[in-house]
Amino acid sequence: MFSEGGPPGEAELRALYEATAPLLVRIATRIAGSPEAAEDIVHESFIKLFEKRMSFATADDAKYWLIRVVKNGALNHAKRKGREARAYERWWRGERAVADSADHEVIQTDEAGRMRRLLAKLPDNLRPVLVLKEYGGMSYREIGRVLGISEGNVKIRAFRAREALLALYEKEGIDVP
Amino acid sequence: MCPDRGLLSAWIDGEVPSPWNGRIDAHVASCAACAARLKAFRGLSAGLAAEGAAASEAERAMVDRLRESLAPAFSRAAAAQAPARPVLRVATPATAGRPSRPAWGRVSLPLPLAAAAAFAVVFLAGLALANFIRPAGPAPVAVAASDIVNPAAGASSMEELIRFIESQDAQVSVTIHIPGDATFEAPGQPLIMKSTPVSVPGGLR
Repeated sequence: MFSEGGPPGEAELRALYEATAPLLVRIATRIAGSPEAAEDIVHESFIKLFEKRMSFATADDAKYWLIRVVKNGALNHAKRKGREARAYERWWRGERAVADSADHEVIQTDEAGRMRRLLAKLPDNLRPVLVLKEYGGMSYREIGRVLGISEGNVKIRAFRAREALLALYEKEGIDVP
Repeated sequence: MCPDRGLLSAWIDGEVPSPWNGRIDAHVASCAACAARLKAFRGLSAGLAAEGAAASEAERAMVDRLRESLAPAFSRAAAAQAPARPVLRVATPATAGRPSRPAWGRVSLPLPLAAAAAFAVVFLAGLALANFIRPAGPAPVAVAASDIVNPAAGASSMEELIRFIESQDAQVSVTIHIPGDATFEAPGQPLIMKSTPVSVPGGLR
């Protein structure tokens, strides 16, 4: 993608968008805890890349830069606004493509909703690591690179995030699915 | 002995190197306590994956909306990309005589020593530090002989040179002639060491 240098042109930006947008949306929503904020954050991150006339040696470098910017924007939002869990839930429900009244579907949604709510309760220093691992499919090394921490630190935080999430489930008296 | 839970967590993530991951494999196959811990961690991963799946419709819609809202900015990127990119070649006395064969307009600009030295150092330092490679864009167009700019055009300062380059539509090859008597000393290098030959009576031991 960025096989040659200089700031990216239109074709490269579009290709980068298609390659990274789904991942960035997944990361932004779960770190920010708000879909509306996430959309703005992802939008602003691409604008920033373009306006700063960033140029990268490889497509991966561009992807990691975007992930980092999205992560920071999402954390800033989470810190400022606290958690908008309720708005989050309303939005996700509204966006469901087809209203499905089957019990199975409702139960699924409830479980998913509970997971979102509990994920949003994780501390800001743990949530991004778990999100990048479980939703981004990134290795500890890649996560360390994006967050600017060591692999060992990533390993510890991923573990602590899981323990914290398990503890939250326990507190609600629910068994993890 | 059971691996601690942090190690199990890393093992699930495939982050434990061999031979230890093999050992954990063998251990958990026969340890009820570890199997229980693993079940909890794996349950979390499954729950997170299910949440992701439940959200995928909404996320696809968001990706579509963002594609639309970013389209104007991306189109501006095409306009913002400069079509002309000057290529600068610094000619030292050793290379001055060699014919170069660019397909673009050529201009030779003799410069005063100070300006040329400063420019050469700044430009080469910039090359060393910059993380760039040639941009993807239209291939340089071969320039007909009639398009070659007057080689006698001179510039006596950096400002004139830069103004000249910016005024060109096509890619420009600029050759800067550094006067032959220029010597470039590395900063801090004591001159006395360079200029004083050292010899030891009877040779070095």
